[in-house]
Amino acid sequence: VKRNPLRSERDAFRLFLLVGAAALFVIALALIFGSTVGAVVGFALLAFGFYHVMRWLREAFSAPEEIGDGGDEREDVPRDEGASRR
Amino acid sequence: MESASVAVDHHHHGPPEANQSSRVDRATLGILIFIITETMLFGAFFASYFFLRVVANEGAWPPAGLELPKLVAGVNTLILVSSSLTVHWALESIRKGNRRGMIAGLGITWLLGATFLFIQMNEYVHLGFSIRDGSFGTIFYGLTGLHGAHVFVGITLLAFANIRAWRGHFEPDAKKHLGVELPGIYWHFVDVMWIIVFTTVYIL
Repeated sequence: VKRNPLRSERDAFRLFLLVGAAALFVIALALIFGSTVGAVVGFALLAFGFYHVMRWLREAFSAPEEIGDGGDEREDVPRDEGASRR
Repeated sequence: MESASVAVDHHHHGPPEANQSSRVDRATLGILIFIITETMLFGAFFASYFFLRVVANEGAWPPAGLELPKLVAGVNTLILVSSSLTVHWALESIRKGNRRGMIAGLGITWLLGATFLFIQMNEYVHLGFSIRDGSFGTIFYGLTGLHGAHVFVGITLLAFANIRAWRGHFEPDAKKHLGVELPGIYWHFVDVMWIIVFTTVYIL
């Protein structure tokens, strides 16, 4: 299951850097080849990002919940720990 | 007798703790849902912008005689982008237990956000067209004004985070600096939106 891109500020910052880099690319294209080329590439990048968000949402909501995967603060405790001690 | 009174003091009063079934912290989930709704709001404004520009417009865009100050907006963009770096620095500092770094980072972020708003208001004063000057004026002020309102909300949240930081409220533990983490997430969202607004309105 993919990580929620806004689970923490660190993840949001990574997303910010990604959007910033994509915007720089679009601005460069628009200045060199014109607004139309920049707009087309911008829309293509937006569609690509939207596709990935939707895929992440589908996977996140269809997958069974796992306890203790990366970044989770819950502890992965064996269910019958008490019984094994007895 | 004494032990009995201590036990009573420790007894929990009021409603029981709410059950949390999500793996995402409740406050983080709240800001996440809020950001999703805000994205939809901006989406509606962008749809209006492109409708007015591509479908309902005949002739040049922006209309002849109207010019946008790209250089000023570009400098303002750099200011706002820098503020995302400083808020990230503030968060990294508190994660490492560096309280001074956090206070400096939050303070600089607030100043950069306020500077951005000040420059934008100054730009509005000197633009030479108003919100009533055709569809271009309306959507320009609508889109940049909507973003400006979000910056205002962001610096208000950061002001509270600053005050709390000065009063020593935050600690390195993830659950004990949510008051910086959540405004930080919101601030990155505001910056991402500005990057898209700037690219769309001023460059394309």
